[in-house]
Amino acid sequence: MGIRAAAAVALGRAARWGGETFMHRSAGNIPGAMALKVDPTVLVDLAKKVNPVAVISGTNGKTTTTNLVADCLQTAGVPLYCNREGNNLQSGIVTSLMLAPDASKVIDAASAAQAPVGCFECDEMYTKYVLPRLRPHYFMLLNLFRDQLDRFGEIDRIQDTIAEALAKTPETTFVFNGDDPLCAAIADRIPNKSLAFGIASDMGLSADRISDSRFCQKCGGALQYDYVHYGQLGAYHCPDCGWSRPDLAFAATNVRLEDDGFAFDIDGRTVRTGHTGAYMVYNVLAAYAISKLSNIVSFENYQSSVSEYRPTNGRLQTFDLGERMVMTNLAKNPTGFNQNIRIVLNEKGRVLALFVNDNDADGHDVSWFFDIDFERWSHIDGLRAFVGGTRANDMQVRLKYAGIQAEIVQNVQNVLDATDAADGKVYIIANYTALPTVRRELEGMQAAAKGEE
Amino acid sequence: MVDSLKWAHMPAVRNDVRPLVIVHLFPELLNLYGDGGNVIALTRRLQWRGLPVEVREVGMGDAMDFSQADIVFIGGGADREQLIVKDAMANKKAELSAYVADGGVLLAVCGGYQFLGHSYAMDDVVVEGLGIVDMETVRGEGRLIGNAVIQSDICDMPIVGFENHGGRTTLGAGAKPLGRVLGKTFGNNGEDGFEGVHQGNLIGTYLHGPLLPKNPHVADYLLARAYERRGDAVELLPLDDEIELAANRVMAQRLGVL
Repeated sequence: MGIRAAAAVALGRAARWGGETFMHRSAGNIPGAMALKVDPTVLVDLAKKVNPVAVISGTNGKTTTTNLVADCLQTAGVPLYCNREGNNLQSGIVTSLMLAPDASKVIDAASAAQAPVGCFECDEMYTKYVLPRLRPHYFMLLNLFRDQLDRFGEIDRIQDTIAEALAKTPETTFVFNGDDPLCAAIADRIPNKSLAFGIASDMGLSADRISDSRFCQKCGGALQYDYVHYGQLGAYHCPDCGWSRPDLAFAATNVRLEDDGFAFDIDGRTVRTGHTGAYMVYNVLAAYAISKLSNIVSFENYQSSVSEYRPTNGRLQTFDLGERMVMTNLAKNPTGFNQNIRIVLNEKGRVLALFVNDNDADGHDVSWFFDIDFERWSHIDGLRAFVGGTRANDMQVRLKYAGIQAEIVQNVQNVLDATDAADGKVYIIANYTALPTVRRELEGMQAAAKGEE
Repeated sequence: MVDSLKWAHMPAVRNDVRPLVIVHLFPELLNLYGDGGNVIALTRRLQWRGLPVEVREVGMGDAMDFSQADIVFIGGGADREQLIVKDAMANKKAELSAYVADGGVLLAVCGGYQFLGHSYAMDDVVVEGLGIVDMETVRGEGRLIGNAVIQSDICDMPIVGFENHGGRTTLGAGAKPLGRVLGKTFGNNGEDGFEGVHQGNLIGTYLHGPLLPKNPHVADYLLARAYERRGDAVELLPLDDEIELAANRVMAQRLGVL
């Protein structure tokens, strides 16, 4: 490590110590941000101490998939670097590499002596810095959905950025969602080896009303679909120019909803996701692809990692409050909300609360509320709906126009007070900055409920 | 007052009124910012009053006879979608012009609004517009983005929404703006203080959000003009708009107005 990089890391570590000691909060990405100020290319040096298996990006599912992949890689018993908390800018990745690797699953001295493996979540627009500096074996792109347009600009720009980043790291294999034409279009214009994953059989889901692009990425013609899973994801081809979904190197088939969630078949085996959200099929399938490619994860270890995966960051998290059960999940764009709407329908939920903010990290524009198919909820018998957050009023209007009467609440407690145990599990969907508040409130309630037992 | 909250309580559809025909132009391409919400708003506000409505989505390859339309809606798209749609739009130029000249009700938002002028610039290309409105759109430095509020003379309440446009639109002598910007709203070009266009039964605006759900007076204005043009003496019963008006008020107050 050069002197400049060493100084950068030392300064960043000092910042972390200060942050954690005096401010009583997790370091997040401050140490990395400070290190980058001293040495903007510090990641190049930090990357030398890790075997960089994968960088994972995409609009939806980054944090969940990164954690799934990390759990799987850890079954090999080697130390692991990972930005598990979702700090996915370059500074967050640098921060995670400045900390000690997670050796909690290391089984013996021989494994401990191996180079640590790394898997990192990366924001789409930051791939241009992270890929050329980290040079991972695999870059995984989960999907590209319409998200926070006022902040990010349009999807074309994201595609350009990712393609340029990959062109600078030609030895990185591009592993992408072949069901997403917006991801597949990138594979067609880069020199890298690429491998597609996807769902090769019709899941029988009704199509969402809004989709980002069901238009040919080559010629602009209208794509035809043999089947659509959700959004623009499915088996597509262009009748005008012949462009079509690529061959799937990792193909899930026979996807079915069982009592404990979606299950699918792949390579002659059955994988159980343990979740009722269709998008978890993609996340679990993506983790399968990286696990298999890594050559250090057995199928049995992969399946047990998936089965044992318990989200702790408010995403698909269940809180047991004794009398009441509450499930929380993140949704930050129409596709995410539409997926949650299906989860509630699959589980026959009747109490729904939506918390939506419009802070910088959420995007200031909430017009996408009207791209969500809330009408699907309007026929639920005995439905109780609540809205909170800085844009509660806008969500209340949206729900009214979907035929749903919703009350404005300040917090989760208001929802619990207005309903009772007979109404069943409470489903809370929150966007990016609204979720931590909800989660903290529920963690407090859960701790209190446990104390009373 | 009509109970507008529960679909279960939706009144029976009157059979003494002809359905109002709403044409949604190119919904598959021009729907960047929840624009379909405008069609949802018009539809529900008719259904809550027991008035029959028919929504016709006109796609790229579809033929359309605008003589049957009572309200035409055009939304906005990203640059790529706008480029895909521009030729199809140009093909409809004569029909759309004739429809507007005949007093047809038209709402165009954002990219759809830009189509209405003589020309508009996208990236490096200058595209010929429909020429329905005396206005010009050029490219400016950076995008004009943010929550927006304007005062129009079609309703007492301010109109709220969200604007996000790279184009700068300037109205010619023959065009009248929809309103004046309030607070830090940019409006047509960030300079002259005007927002949108309003001439006859045509409204064009950069405000999405979408526009109509939180501005129910504008929605009802369009509905009333459509019946009036048709010569139907349909009275628009007042609706309970408390939720919509509260959302409007909260945003207007946040932006320092009211």
